[in-house]
Parts: sequence; C-alpha cells; structure tokens
Amino acid sequence: MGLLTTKGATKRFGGLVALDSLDIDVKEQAIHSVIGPNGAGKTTLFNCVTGFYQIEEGNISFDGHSLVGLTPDRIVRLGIARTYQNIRLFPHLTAIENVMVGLHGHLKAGIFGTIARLPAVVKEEKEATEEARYLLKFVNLPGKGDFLSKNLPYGDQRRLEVARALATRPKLLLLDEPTAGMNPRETIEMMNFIRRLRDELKITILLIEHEMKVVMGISETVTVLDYGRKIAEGTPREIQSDPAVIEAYLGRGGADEMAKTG
Amino acid sequence: MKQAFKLGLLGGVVQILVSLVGMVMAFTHREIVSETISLGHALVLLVTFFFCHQTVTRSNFPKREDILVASLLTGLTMAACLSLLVLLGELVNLRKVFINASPALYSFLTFDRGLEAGIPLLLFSGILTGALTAFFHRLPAMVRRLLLIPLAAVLVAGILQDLLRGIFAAWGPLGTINEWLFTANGMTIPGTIFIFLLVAALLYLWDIARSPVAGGYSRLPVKTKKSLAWTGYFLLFSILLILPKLLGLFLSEVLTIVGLFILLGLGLNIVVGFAGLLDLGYVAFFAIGAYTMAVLTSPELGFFNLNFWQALPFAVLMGVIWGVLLGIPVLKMRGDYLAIATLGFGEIIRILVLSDFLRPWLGGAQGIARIPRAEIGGFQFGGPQEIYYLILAGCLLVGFISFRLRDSRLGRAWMAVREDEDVAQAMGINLVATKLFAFATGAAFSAISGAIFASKLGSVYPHSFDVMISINILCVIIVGGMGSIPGVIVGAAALIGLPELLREFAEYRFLIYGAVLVAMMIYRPAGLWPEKVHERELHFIEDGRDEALEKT
Amino acid sequence: MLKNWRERVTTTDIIMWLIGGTLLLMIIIGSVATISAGRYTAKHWLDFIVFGLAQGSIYALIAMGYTMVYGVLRMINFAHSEVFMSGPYTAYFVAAFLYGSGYLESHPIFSLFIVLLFSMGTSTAIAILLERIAYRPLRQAPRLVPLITAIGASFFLQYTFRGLYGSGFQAYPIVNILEGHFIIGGFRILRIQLVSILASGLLMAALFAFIQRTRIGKAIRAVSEDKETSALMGINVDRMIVTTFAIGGLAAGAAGLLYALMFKQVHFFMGFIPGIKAFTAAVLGGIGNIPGAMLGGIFLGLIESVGPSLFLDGLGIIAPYQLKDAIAFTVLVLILIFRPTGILGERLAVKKA
Repeated sequence: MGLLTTKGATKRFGGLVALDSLDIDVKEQAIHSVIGPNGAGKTTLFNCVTGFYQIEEGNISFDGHSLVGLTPDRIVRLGIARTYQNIRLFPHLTAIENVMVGLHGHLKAGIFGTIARLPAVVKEEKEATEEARYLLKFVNLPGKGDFLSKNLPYGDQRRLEVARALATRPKLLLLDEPTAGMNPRETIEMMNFIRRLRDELKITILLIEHEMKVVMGISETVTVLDYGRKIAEGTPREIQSDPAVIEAYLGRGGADEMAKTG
Repeated sequence: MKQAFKLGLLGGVVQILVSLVGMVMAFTHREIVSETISLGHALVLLVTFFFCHQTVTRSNFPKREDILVASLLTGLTMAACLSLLVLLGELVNLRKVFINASPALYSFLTFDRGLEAGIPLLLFSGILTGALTAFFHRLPAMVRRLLLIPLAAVLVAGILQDLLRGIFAAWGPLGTINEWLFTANGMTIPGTIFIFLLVAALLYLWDIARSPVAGGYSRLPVKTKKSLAWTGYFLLFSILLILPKLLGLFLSEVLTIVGLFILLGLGLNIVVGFAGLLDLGYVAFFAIGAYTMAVLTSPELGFFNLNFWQALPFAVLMGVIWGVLLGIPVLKMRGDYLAIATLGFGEIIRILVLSDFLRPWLGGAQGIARIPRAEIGGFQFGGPQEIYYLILAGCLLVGFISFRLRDSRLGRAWMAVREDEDVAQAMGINLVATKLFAFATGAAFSAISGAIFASKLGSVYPHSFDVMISINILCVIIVGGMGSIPGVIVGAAALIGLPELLREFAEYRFLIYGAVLVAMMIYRPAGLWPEKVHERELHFIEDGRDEALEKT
Repeated sequence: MLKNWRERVTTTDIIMWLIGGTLLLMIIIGSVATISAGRYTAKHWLDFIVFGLAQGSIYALIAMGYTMVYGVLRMINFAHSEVFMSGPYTAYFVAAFLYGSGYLESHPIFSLFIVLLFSMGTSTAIAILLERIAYRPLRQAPRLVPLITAIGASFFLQYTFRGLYGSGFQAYPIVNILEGHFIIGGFRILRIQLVSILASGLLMAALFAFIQRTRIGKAIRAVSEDKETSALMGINVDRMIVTTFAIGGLAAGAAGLLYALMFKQVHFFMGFIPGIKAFTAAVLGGIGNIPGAMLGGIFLGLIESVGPSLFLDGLGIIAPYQLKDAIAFTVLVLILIFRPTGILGERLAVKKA
C-alpha cells in the first residue's frame, strides 16, 4: 500500500472518458513519473488527485484518507501540493508573498489577533517570513523575495512555483512538466533539484513529463497512460522495451527514437 | 495632415457634445478670473488644446512648420464645427430637441459679437489655440512644466474659490487676503498673477531643492526618520482635530459627507480591491446599517428606543449577518455574474424597504424619522461640526483595521483569491471562509457608515439607498486606485467633495463619473493613488493593451 | 460514515438549498392560497398572461443583444440598457414632429415605420460607437476592466442624453391605430400588446434566421466559438464583433420603441430596469444562447406579470405589485445559484467565467 493509491478512478467529460478505471500506486519517497501522449489524461489525473475535479467512480486515497469529495484546500492540508503545466503564480504578489500564501494553512492568526497585532501573531508572522526566505534560498532564489513574481525570468518562476508548493509542507508533490520550456542546462539543474527534494526533504514526487531524458533519468517507476487507461507500468528500463508503450506513445516507427533517447 | 483634420473633426464633435449637454453654459457661471475668464471658457479652451496637442504629439513631420500647420488645422476644424453649430442653431430652432441649445450658448460661442463678427473671431481663436499649442510644444520641458502646473493651480484656485475664501475668512487676520485675491465671483487679475507666480516660484525652488533634501533625509539615522514620521502623523492628526473649526459650517458638512463615503469606500475596497469580488449591491449594507439604527432607536416606531451607542453594535452585527447571508449564494460566481447578482440583491433590499408590505416595521416610502443624535457624556453629535468627530473616529478605526488586515495572513489570502481563485484554493485557502470574511468585513464597515448616516440625518428614506450610491462608491475606489487605502481618501475627496463644492458641477456629476471610469480603465487602470502592488499591475494591464493594439 | 458525509456536504450548500427550498415552498403555498380563494377570474389571468407575453417579448429582444455580445466577447455589456434607451428617446422627437404636423394621424403606419427606423438607427449607432470607443481598446484586459468600463459607459450615456434632451419624462404621442383592443374568441386584448408580441416575434424570427442562415451569421457564430481560429480562417473578427453589436442595437432600438409605445413615455433612466431584466432573461435562457434568450425573456415577462397576483397575494402580502421588480431579481439570483447555465445554456458561469 503506497502513499497515494487510485482504484478504478474514472472521470468523464460528456462522452469523453478522460480517466478510465485507473489504478496507480505511488510508493512513499518514490520519484514516480506519469507519461503518455497528449490528451492521455495526465493532467486530469493531477486535477482529480488535488480535488479540482471530482472522479465519478472509484476511489483515490492518500495516507489512509479517501480524497473523494474533498475540496482542494482540504486536500492540500492533508499533504499534497502541486505545480502547474503553464505556470500559475499570483502575478501581482511579490515572490515572498507567493510563498507565504503557501504557508496559509499552517498559520493560525485569527481576525482579532490580526487587528490587535497580538504578540503571538507578530511572532508567527516573523517565523513565516523566515521560513519563506529559507524556501526561496532552497530553490535558489535568494534575495529575490521582493520582486513581483510576474517580473521574474521563466526559470525562476518555475522554481518559485515549487517553493510555493513546498511552503504547504507536502508529503507528496505533484509536478506538471517541471522542465517544460527549459534549455538542457536548466533541465539538468531541475533534475538534480527534484532529487534533492526527495533526498533532503523526504518528499514523494509524482511528475508528468514529456522530456524522456528526465523521465528515464530520475524516476524509479513510470506509469504510461493512453486514452485514460494505464497501458504499462514499471521501471524506466522495462517501459522502454514495452512494445505497447512504443506503439501508443511514439506510434509505429518510433522505436528507434526511443532507443536513442534511452 | 489628414490625421490632423480627422482629429479636428473628432474634437469638434466632442466640443459640440459638451456644448449641447449644457456643460459649457453651466460652467460659465463660475468665473475663474472675475469677468474675464470663466470655467466655460476654460473648458472650451482645454478641449481644443487637448486635441491640438494630440495632433502635435502624434504627427511625425520632420519640419517644424508642418507641425505648426497641422496644429492650426486641428484648431481651425474644431472652431469650424462650433461655427456650424451656431449657424445651424440660428437657422433652425434646435432647442425643441436639445434643451441646452440656447441663444445664450450661441452668443457665448461668438463672444457676444453677433454672427458677422463673432464667427470669424471664433475661427481665429481656434487658429490661435492651434498656434499656441504648437509653440508650447517647442518650449523646453522645464519651461513647459513651469507654465503648465501654475496654470493648473490657477484653475484649481478658481474652481475652489469658495473653499479658499471660507478658509481665509475663518482665519481672522488673513481675511483681508480675500478682498485682494477674490471678488464675489472669480479671482481678481492681480490675484491671478500672484497665484501663478507664487506657484511657479515654489515649483522652481522645489526643483532646485528636491535632491539635496531627499538626499539629506535618506542620510538621517533610522531613529530620527521614525520620529520625523511620528511628528508628521501627530501634526496631521492635530489638523484633523481642529479642521471643522477652521472650515466653518458648510465645509464641515461637506467633510462629513466625504467621511461617510470614505467609510463606505474602505469597506468596498476590501471586497473589490483586496478580494477582487465586484459587488454592485454594496448600498444594501449601507441601508441595513441605517435602517437597523432607525428601527432600534426611533421613538416613532417605538420598538426598542435604544440610544445610538446601544444600537451601533447591532447595526454592525446586522451588517455582518447580511453580508454573510447575501454572500453565500454568490460564492461560486465570478466576475460579471457576481456583479449582476449583487446588483439584484441591492435592488431587492431597496424594493422591500419601499414596499407597503414591510411598512409597519420599516416605514415604507415615508421612511423613519426622529432618530436620536449620538451623545457622549452630554456632548451631542448634532451639527456637522460635531458629527465630524464621530465620522473621523469611524474612519480612523476602519482605516486602521484595513491596514492591519491587508498586511496579514488574511489579507494575503484575499489577494491570492483575487489573483487566481483556483490556485489559491490549491494552496490551502478556504475559499468560502475567505470570501465570506471579505463580504462580512465590507458589510460591517458599510453598516457603520449607514448607522452614522441615519443618526446624522435624523431620518432614513428608501430613496437614499438607490443603485447610484453603489456606483458612486465604486467610482471612488476605482479613481483612487483599487486596493489602495489612501486612494479611497483621495477618490472620495475628488469625487464626493468636489461636486459638493461646485454646485454647477452637480448636474453633470454622473456624466463625468462615467467618462472618468471609461477613461481610467483605458488609460490609467491603477487609479490616482495606486497601491504599491497595483501600481505594478498597471503595467500588466498596459501590456495587455499593447498586445491588443498590436493585434488590431 | 456520518463524518464522511459531513466532510463532503458543506454548510453553505445546505444554506443555499434551504433558501431555495423556502422560496419554492412560499411560491407553492401562495399559489394554492390564491387559487383556492378565487379572487381572480379567468379573464384576469388572461390579461396577466397577455401583458406578460407583451412585456416578455420586449425583454427577449433586448436580451438578444446581451447574449450575442456575451457570445463574442465574453463580457456583459452593461451599457446595453442605454443602447435601448437612446433609440426611442431620439425617435420621440421625430414622432413628436410627425404628430405636430398631422402626418402621424393621416399616415400612421408609414409614420410608425419612420419612427422605428430612427429608433433602430440611433440604437445601432450608439452600440457601434460603444464598441469602438470603450470596448475595443480593452479586449485583452483582465475581466473586471471591461465590466467597469461598461458601467462607466452606461452612466456616461444616461447623463449625456439627460443633458441633451432634458431630465423630464416626455409623453410619447398617441397613435390611434394602437389604441383600444381587439376581441379574439370573446376576450379583449389590448392592441398595443398584441402588436408588440407580433412585432417582436417577427423581428426575432428574422434575426434568428439571419444568424443561422447567412454567411455573416455563421461567421459570428464562429467568432463566438473561437476568435483566434476564426481569424485564421480568414474571418474579420473585428468586423464580426461590430456586426454583433449592431444587431444587438437594432433589436434594442425596436424593443425600445415598443416599450415607449406601450408605456407612452420616455425618460433618460428608462433603460436601467428593462436592461437588468433583459439580462436576467439572457441568464435564464443560458447566456450566449440566442433561442434561450428569447425563451428566457418570455418566461420572465410572464412570471413578473402573473407572479404578484399568483403567489404574493396568496401569502397575504399587501400591494403585491410593488414587489414586481423584486420577483424578477429574485428569479435572477435563484437562477444564478441553482442553474447558472440557464435553461438551455452550457456551463459557463462557474468554471470558465
């Protein structure tokens, strides 16, 4: 029994079946990749896990809790955080404010405490600022706290999004194409960074990725989706040689390419 | 050249519209320089200047003469449009349709000289304005500034002459300044020149001294800076305390109205500016506060007969309860749907209050009268000079709460919801609680304002609570700068205070508000005093606009 | 199990259903009480229904403008109520002139046609100007910006017309052929009401055919679906948006004239209430959906006309007609709460909006 388990999870949009009785099991402290062609249901899976969509059938459970019917804010408090395929920061808040929004669930200041600025609230706010600074440093954005997030360069925005997700103190982090739009050097940095997240912070990672180098390079388990169904699962090596995957994912004639990138 | 002509035509249409709407004539009653230049003249001149300026800045002729000609052409075209209006008006009676197309307007436009002499004069003045604009454009930037700002100051002094006269008159020995600066209507010519030169001199000094002063200030130790700031606050506070005595009865009344709108604006600022929930039915909470106060205190109904202070907490409580109750149904709506639904709520409340059905409890169309004044230990908040303190206390309290909330976990949650609701929720923010808290806080502030309003007037009528109030408040916070707390004060002073001071302005209040809203959204969406965060947002919106322009 | 259930159904859901349930219950109790008391005869009800249909068909015409503009720009054209007002207010002067010269008496149908042309022409012109000046520069702006602009434009137009034409009510001239009533199957129906229903019906059918059948109509629908793709397909998106505003203006101008003839007066503020109601109608039918707007308008007209006597009277409310507008707004709020997609619409209000 892993940290995150889906059992027969099904999600439909009208006639389209985006997830078709999907069973996935993410082990604790694993780096687990989900791959598949466009429209395979990868992002839908993320949206269902984080409560943005509700599945129609089946069950999703995390750390002993069922996630079915929970709102996204409850799920994040259970310990699941995510980033987005197309970066979704709060554009007109500063970097540090973005991170501090992530800390929201761990702060307790109430209305009266805030207005009266009770010592406990002042202390909490100070600690939160420090934690946010630490996280910015952790994602290699030291001293950029006062920049508006939309003014940061692309790579910084990606890392800031991770810092904001980390601020929710997750056990499981969902990364939606973390290396999209990055150059090879940045991609390698990001791979190392993902490993650090797991090794230093003990966070389980579930990621969607198109870049085969990343998938094969860092993941321990790979799940392949096609039309919302799981067509294969295993170590990167097993996946690479799976004929069903090669056919679905790359189409006929793609096998050579697959061999090259491996 | 074609563009210059086009702009001239456009300007001419604007000019004719301004004339026919009646603004020109209404503004002629306010003289800036006594018997020489009225606000009406200023308006016509400003519009012409604006369009000539557009021509000059948009044209990219290499030669100076061409720019001059283009500017002349624009000015001439505009004057020709006005001449056509005058000629047409002399031929046909336009007044049957356009009530403001009066002989007085024609005679004003032809400088009271009749058609033969007046129209050439009008055309000539158009050319002259064009020439002046082009000439002005060629001056060095420094000189332009030294001309433009003092001229604006003269205009403002002329517009605010009643206010200034009132202040000087209240200051005993300074009263003699009045006779020298002002006549019964407008400034004297020496007074005008004096103000122009004074402002120009001050501006010049400021330009020279600014950098050393700023540099000196930044070198001061932090502690001194802090104490300087505190001295500043203290001074400001003392001025606020003696303000009604300084300003006299009429201006204190204006101040109380501005104060009530600041209270309302601060509340709506939380809902719209911080949390991004566009509420068009905000007046409902103002009404709820006022009616709670009325029902609980008025002996006319005789249910409770509480005094002001006993009833105030209930008014706030009712505001909060209704804020939450009306907030729940609209929780899932966004943007424009929310706006229309809240507009509907506001109207439902007003219609219910107005109805005979609830008359035994709420007084129907006659409203509720005999609401007692507030009182502390024998000090009655009766006239505007006393009520002022009540409102000042309210504004300070509400402003303080706004600041504290803004810089907290709760404020951050609001802004996150404003920026991206889905992501905010995915960061652990409870949308229901956050939004309801914004509605409730906004409603509470509004209810305080309503309660004071009821006690100030001594009566409440359903007609005081129509949708125009909501629009007014919305304009206040947009003009001031959404999300900006000082912006609310600036906005209320500009949009509520000015029309109270300018009686001829009153009729065109909403016309100008509407134009200001549209213009602000297109050219300066961040407002007059933008919040630091929103100031940056301005660029964002501008970026968007540039893209839009590129695409078209 | 109970804990599970409590985690998943929120308090706000319960409160919302309670509010909705209470209102529904009141409607049922009120209707039953009214019907069993028998205070109104069949003739009364028929009057209410015909009046509701006449009123509703006007709402439906205005609602088309809201719904089509929403379709192409995804914004609520708050100033559409002023587009509605500007037409009949301007045409009033034409009508008054025709009346003064006796032409309205001698050639009533042709005169009405001229007045209608003026009304539709002005409304269309205002709608086009509105799009050009106020909305076009803001097409890429965040959502709140065009909405605030629309509110500003609405008040600007209202008070500009007030400045131009004056702040009083102007009594529309009486047109003899629209006075009196027809007798159909033993029932008396006011002429103006029947004419309104027929005229609006005809116009709506024509506009609907235009949207469905013609090339321009298809292009407009394509723009509603996807602006970028339409542009790639060689459709001039700007022109289609202007056309949409123009069609909305045409319908609003016609609706405005019918409204003015029915209530026999014009005023600079006359657009506000019908505007909001027509918006309600558009939401009711599912915003963006043209047949929906028509159905929604007629439904709203009916419920507003029948409602006060049907359920408010039965609840023992004094002077129920004062609450007529409140019914419309309550319907709006209820729809937005329980079925933001409207009767025929797709689900837009909650997620995409």
